[in-house]
Amino acid sequence: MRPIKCEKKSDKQLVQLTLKNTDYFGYLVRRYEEKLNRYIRRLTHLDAETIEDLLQEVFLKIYKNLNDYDSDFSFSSWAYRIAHNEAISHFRKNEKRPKTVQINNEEGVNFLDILPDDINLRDDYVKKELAQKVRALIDELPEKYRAVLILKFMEEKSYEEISDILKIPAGTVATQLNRAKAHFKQLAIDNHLNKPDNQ
Amino acid sequence: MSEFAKSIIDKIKKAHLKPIPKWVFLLRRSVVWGSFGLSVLFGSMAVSIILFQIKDMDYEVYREMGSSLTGFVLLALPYFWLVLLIGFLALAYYHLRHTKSGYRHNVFAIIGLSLVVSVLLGASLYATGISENLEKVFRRIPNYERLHFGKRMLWNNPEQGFLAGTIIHMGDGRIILLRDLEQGSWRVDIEKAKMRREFEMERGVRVRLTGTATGDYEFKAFNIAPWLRPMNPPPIFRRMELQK
Repeated sequence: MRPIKCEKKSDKQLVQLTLKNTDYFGYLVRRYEEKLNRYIRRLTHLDAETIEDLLQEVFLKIYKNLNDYDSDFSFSSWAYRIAHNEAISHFRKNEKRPKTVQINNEEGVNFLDILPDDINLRDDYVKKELAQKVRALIDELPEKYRAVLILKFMEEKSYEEISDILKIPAGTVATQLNRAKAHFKQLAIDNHLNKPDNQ
Repeated sequence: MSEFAKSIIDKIKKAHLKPIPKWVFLLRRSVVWGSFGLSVLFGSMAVSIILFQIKDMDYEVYREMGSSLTGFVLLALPYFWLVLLIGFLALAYYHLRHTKSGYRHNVFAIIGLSLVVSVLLGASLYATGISENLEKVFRRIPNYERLHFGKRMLWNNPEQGFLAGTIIHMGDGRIILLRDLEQGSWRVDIEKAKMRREFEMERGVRVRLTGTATGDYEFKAFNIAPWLRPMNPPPIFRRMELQK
C-alpha cells in the first residue's frame, strides 16, 4: 500500500479496495475515527473507554456491511448512520440516558445562535459560560431533537446529509430542526438563561 | 495508520472477519421490494372487489327503502374490503420505507403513489373480470357473506319490507319456509312474487325478498332475487360482445 496515494483516494474507491484487501480499511478508519468518536461523544457523553469500545463495534459493523454500501450515497453519511444507530442502541440497551461526563465548553457555542434574542452575547466570558450551560441543556432534549441539533450545529451537516444519517425525509429534518430549536429555546427560558445573572 | 486503525485491522484478521456477501443484501432488498409489490397487488385486489361490490349493490331497491342514493351507498359500502385496502396501503408504506432510499420520500407521497397504483391495477382487474372471479373464490370461504355488514343490515329489516334468508322448505310453491339472517324462521307467501333474476329456487338457496310483514314471522313477498347476483361475463368482454 502507498499511503500518499491512498490519502487521495475517495471513500468509494477505498471501499472497493477494502473489498479486495482488508488492509485498505485502515485508511477509512483513520479518515473517520475522529469524526465518529466526536459524534458519539457529543450524542452520548459516555466515558472515553466506552466510546472507544463502541467505535470499534461501529467500524467492525461498517466492515462487515461494506457490500451493503451503495455508492449512490455518501460514505460519510452511511458511516455516521451506523455510528448513530450503535450509539442509540447502546444506551437503549443499558437503559439510561446519556450522562454528562465530559463537557467541552466550546461545544455549546454553536448553539448560542438559537437562544432567545434577548440574551446579550457580546461578552466572550458570558459566551463561554453560557456555552457550557447550553451544552448541558442539549442533553435535556428528547433523543430525536438532540441528534438533529448536534448534526446541524456541531457536525455542520446539510439537511440532505442529516436525512441520510437519520433515515428521515429532508422535509422532516427541517420540521424536527424547527421543533428542536423551539424546544431548546423554551428550555433556555425555563432555565433562566436569559436572566441578567447569566449575562 | 493510527493505532486505533491498526487495532481494528488486527481484530478483523484475528477473527477472520469477512464482509457479508453481496447476495445476502440483494436477497434482503428483494424481499423488501417483493413485499411492497405484494402489498400493492393485494391492495389492487381489494380495489377491484370494492369496485365489483359497488357495481353489485342493490340499486333497484334503494328508492323502495326511502333512502337517498348517498345514504344507501354509505350503508352498503364494502367496509371490510376498504379496511383491508387501508391495511395493504399501510403495509406498502412500511415496506417502501424500508427500501434503501425509501426514507427520502414523504409519507403522503408513498401512500398516494401506492393508492394510485392500486386503483389503476384494481380497475384493470375489474375491467378484465378478474375481480368477479376473485369474488367467486371468496364466496367459497365459510361465513364470507357475514362480511357484507351493510347488505346484511339492509336486508334484515322485515318491518320495512326487506327480508333475506335461506330457504329451508319449498312447500307447495306458494308458501316457503325461510331462515332469516338472525336464524328466525319465516313463513313466506310467494304466490304473487316476481322473480327479479333467473335462478334456481330450491332448498338451501339464500334469497332476498321485498314485500310486507303480514304477521308474526309471516311475510308476503312481492319480489324475489338471489342473495348474491349471478356472475356475469367480464365488463370488457360484455363490451366486445355488444360491439359484434
